[in-house]
Amino acid sequence: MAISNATFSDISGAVSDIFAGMGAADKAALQAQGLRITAQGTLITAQGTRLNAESLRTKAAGDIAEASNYDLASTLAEANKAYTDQSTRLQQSQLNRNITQTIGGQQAGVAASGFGAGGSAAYLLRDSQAQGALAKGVLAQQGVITEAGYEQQAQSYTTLANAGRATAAAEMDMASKTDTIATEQDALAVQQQQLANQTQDVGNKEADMDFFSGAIKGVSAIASIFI
Amino acid sequence: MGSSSFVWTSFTGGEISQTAQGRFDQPYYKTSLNVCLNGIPLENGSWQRRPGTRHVAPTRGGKTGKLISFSFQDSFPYQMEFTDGFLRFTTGPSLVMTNDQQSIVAISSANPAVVQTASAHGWSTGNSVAFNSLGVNNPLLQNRQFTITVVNTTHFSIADAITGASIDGSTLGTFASGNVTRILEIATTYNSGSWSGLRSVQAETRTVLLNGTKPQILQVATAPTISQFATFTFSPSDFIDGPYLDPIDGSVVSSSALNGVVTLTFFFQAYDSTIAYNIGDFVSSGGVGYQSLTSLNQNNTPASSPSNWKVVNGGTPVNNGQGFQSSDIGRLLRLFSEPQLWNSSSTYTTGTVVAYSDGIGGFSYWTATGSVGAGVQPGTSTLWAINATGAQWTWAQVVSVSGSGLISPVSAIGSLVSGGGIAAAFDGNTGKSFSSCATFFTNIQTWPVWSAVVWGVGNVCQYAGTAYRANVTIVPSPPFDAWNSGIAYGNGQTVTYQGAVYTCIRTETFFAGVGIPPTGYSALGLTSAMFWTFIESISALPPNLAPSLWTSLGAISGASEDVYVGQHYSSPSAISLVTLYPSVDVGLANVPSDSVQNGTYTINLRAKNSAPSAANDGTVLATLTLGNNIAPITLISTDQVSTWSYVWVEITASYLQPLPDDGSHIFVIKIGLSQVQFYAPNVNNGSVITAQIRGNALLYNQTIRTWQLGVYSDTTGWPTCGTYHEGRIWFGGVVSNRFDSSVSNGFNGIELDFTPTGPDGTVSVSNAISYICDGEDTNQILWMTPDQQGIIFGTQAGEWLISAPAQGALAPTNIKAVRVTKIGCANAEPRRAEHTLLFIQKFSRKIMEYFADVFSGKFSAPNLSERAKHMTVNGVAEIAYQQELAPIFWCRRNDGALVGATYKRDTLTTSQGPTIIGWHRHQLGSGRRVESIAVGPSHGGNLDSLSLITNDTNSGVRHLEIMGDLLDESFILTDCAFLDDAITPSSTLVQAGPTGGPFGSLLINGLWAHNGKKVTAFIAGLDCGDYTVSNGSITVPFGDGVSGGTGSGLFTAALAESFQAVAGETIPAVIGFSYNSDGQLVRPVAPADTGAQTIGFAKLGRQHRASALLFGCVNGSISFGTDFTKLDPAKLRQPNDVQYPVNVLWSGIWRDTVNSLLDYDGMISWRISRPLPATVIVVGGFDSKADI
Repeated sequence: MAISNATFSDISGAVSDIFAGMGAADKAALQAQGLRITAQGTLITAQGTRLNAESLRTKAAGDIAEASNYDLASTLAEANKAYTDQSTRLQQSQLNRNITQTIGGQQAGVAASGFGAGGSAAYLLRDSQAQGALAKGVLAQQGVITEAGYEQQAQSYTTLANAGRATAAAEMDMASKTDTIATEQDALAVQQQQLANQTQDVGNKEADMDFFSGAIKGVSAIASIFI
Repeated sequence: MGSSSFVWTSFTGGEISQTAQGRFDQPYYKTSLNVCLNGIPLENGSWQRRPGTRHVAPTRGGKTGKLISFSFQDSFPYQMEFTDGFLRFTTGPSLVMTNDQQSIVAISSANPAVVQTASAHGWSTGNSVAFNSLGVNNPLLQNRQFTITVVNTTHFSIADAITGASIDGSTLGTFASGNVTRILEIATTYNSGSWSGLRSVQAETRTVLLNGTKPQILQVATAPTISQFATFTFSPSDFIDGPYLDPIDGSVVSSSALNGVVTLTFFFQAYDSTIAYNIGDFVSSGGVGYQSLTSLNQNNTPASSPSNWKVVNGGTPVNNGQGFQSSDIGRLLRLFSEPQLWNSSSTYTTGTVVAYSDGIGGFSYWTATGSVGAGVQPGTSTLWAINATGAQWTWAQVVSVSGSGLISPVSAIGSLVSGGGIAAAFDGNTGKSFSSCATFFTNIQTWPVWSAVVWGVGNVCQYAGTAYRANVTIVPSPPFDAWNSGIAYGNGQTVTYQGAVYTCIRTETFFAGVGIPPTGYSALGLTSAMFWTFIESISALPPNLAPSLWTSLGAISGASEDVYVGQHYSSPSAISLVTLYPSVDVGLANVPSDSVQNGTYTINLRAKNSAPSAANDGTVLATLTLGNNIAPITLISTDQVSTWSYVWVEITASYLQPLPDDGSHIFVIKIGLSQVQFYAPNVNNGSVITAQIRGNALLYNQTIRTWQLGVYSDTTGWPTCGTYHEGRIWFGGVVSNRFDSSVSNGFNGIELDFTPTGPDGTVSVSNAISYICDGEDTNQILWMTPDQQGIIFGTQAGEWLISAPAQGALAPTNIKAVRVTKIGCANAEPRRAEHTLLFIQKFSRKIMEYFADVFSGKFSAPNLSERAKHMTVNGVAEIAYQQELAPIFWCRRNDGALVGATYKRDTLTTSQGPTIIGWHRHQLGSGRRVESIAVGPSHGGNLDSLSLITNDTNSGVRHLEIMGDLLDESFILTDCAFLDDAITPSSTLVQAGPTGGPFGSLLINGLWAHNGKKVTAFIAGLDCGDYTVSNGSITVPFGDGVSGGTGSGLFTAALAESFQAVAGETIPAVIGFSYNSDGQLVRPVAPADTGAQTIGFAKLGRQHRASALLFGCVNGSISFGTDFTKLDPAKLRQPNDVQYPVNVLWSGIWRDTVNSLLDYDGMISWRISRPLPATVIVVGGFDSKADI
């Protein structure tokens, strides 16, 4: 036989296959390598995710601690409110005493000055009573305002504590979920490793096939020469 | 018998009582006098004749009046003269005019005469005028006041200002030239004698006039100058925001609006079943007012608990249950505008303001800052904000009183038909004088009540219901010695013998009457009747026990009157009460309060449904018996349900003898009502008024829970006394023990600011002051006067000191009042002396000098009348103090007498008496009674002078007089004016003889005030004799220029013309009433004074001679003796034994024998009886005493 086109075609096919086989192997190796790298990356990501989860747990622990402090502050504000209430009552009682003493002193002074309780004496006493009532009112109002401030403070702290606790809970939840993601990422990495291996295998097999096809075609080419 | 001479070197002890003349062991005895009449002990110890009084003018209309000093500028001293309805002024000896003098063109001869002025006079009918610069023409017009009736702008007719008689122009003579001036007269509200209690509280050029009615403000509008009189404004005062009574618990008021004229309705706080009410508490329940009848009255629903509550009207707390009256119009109210009370069951919207009780009596105010739910208390939530301006005080003035229940008059009935008639009792005017009231009057004969005084023959008295006529002159205890058989009596000597007085009628002085008694002697041809004549009987027994001296005229009867006045209503009406307003001058019925048996009368409220047949007809609804007064009287009906067509008040008054006798022997029974007001029940009864808000607007349209009623009103009265101290006006006299002061510098214009607090109730130091003094009794404040320590005020129960207990001024917060002494005061103003305060003790019998002891600081009040108690018999009504030329306090007694005391205290220690206290009596030469006195700066302000209103009891015309100055040592005879009510002539005319006398005469004009009276003329330093004033003039004949005729011949035409020859000079002359000035020592008793070896008491003696150191006398001016019936003129001789002429002043030592009886007394006496000067410096006697 002579060398014909087919021979050449076979030879080229064989060569091509041989080279294809060689390329497929390389390609598969590369792809497998890539996949392995990806798997490695996924593993690293999972590690990061785990770290993130750990961070969230740490933050949640901080928030819980902060909420505890706010609880303490709220309790203190409530205590201040109660104290203010008591203090106001006490001061009002003292003011009552002072007013009574003042008015009594005025009455005694008026009597000692030789006068009855009417006329200017009555105006003075009424003025003192009015001033006493006003002072008591002012005191009461100051107390109420202070109590209201403390109450608002307590409420604010309670709100902050609750918010801290809610945040910590959310963070713990997120950490948990992040852990899950990391685990999933680990699994993905394994899958990616497996895929790389499979890709390598496929590539090797494809190379083998190409080599075999090339061999056949080479043989065929040779054979065509000889045929 | 021992002999001695003695001297009295000082008379500063003045006249002392007979009963004080036993203390010859006391130092004061050697300065005392038994008689000091119309003479004044001076500070230096001498005795000087009292100056005469100068005639100023008759009072307005010659009516009774009152003088008050108004010395706003010492160089132009003014005095106020108050008479019914008018105020006039004097300055020095002049009436104050209106500065619009008119030149006269002509005076017509018509009747009445018409005066034509050169220009429009601008005057009004009823004005008073006086003429001047008439020359010697028209004597009837000179020094006389006239009332004018305006014809047109330049013409007016004239009438006598006192009598009202028209002036007939044809009697006036020819008019040549002259001017007419108008007397400044200000119409006042002081009628019917209501000025008698006036007090003046002066603050610079303004004064507040007080008399218990609304104070009036007199202000100087333009100050006086040399050529112009001052002008004045006279207006009612305007009280600003006070003073107030205390709030009434339980009484509340609602206002129809926040500002302007609002209707105020008074009711009570709502009934609360949880409260235990006290007796008298007020509540409102179901729209009805109630008053608690029980204490611890809890949970008794008023409507169903009549045993615990009675129904009352919202006005009940006001005016002692009468509610607001029409007389409350103008009264002030203070209102505390507060928000609603916080209610636990209510919700509140944003901005709502509430009052919240602090539980201890005070309220605070809160504003809702959001929607507030029920039960949220202020102070427990920020939904309430404190409101510091949540309430404020404001004040208002009553404009009208509605619903007082006053029944409108329909038709008057009754028997009070005189005066204004029965209709006058329902004309709405509550303040009328008797002449304008519905009145009844009738005359009843009366006689003076017998007492142990002198009764002339024919005099009638009453005693124990019987009238008696004196058969002879009867004296109780004549000042004559008993007949002594060992004494030789001379002609005119008087003795007592067997109950009668006899005078010796023999001229044989040495032997007459020796051993021959005044009656019953007959021997040796001699009888008692040859030596003695009967003068008068002596008896101090009442007429029924001395029948030989008195003739019974039978029983003297009284009278009982039963009168009535009321209304006939066309529609029958129930009657709640009646208020009677007596006449403001006489009262309701002039039943004498000092009558022995009857000092009261009875008023019955009666009603009937047909016309009454008599005063005592119908049903008695109320009755009241009381004494006479001018205050309103209210009778509350016992039947307020029945309706009546006729209602009236019956007045029964019994007039039992003895009734007062003013000399006319006729007592006029007077019953008069200014107003009668019947009130119906079941109406508002004074619980609704309208008022003008004068302060800030009310803050809320809410019930006002705290309000106050003004202290002063026509219902409650107005201040009666006060003072000006530390820039505040202080008042007292309305409420017992209470005084009020204005705010600092609160007297502005007519405004008297008594604001007690700021609007928010704050009391500052400058606010008004109102205090009621704690005391064991309550008494009206009678006077107030500033003192170094504060203010002293007097009541009938004692004297109080208002002071500032802490540093600083008196203030509501710095004030104290204590009763410092318990002497008790009369209702008369005290007077400030140099270092002390003088006041009249409550029984009007003592003058107290009041001062704080310099060591202890405690007040003390020695009695200045201790040794001269007789000076205050009948009581002292008024005092006045002058400092120069001698420190004297003058006393006007209730009987119209004038007494005084030279008084000086240098050491303010209670252990020492005053430096000088020397009393002196005074009898005006005119015989008039003194009705008012006042001291102010004399004209020019260099001395003090006493002004008087005197009453000529014969004519009833009052005169304003001013006492002259005491003489200084440099005086000359023509300075003298020792005549009372002495007039300085308005013109004189020298008339050639034989007109008025062979040597001519001096015509003296301007004496109208003394027309018809016998007067004494003191001209050019000469006693020119006595004359009767005719047509306002006298004619004084000239003397012969040697020794015959007037003025011992020295009063000549040449003398008169010598004065007229000097340009601008007139002959010095005063024409008035002469008077005696008497002095008499007390008995010399000391051994050194009597020559007795021991005390000279009760030892017979005789003053052989008397001596005196005299100053400023003229021959004949002074007489000496030991008995005023036997005085010999002191003959003042030159060294050559020639007597000094009567126009030469003489000073030196006089000594001569005197007419002296042998007796136990030997009291040297002296008298000046003519208008001549005399000062007695020392008096000596030469005494012989039987030393057994």
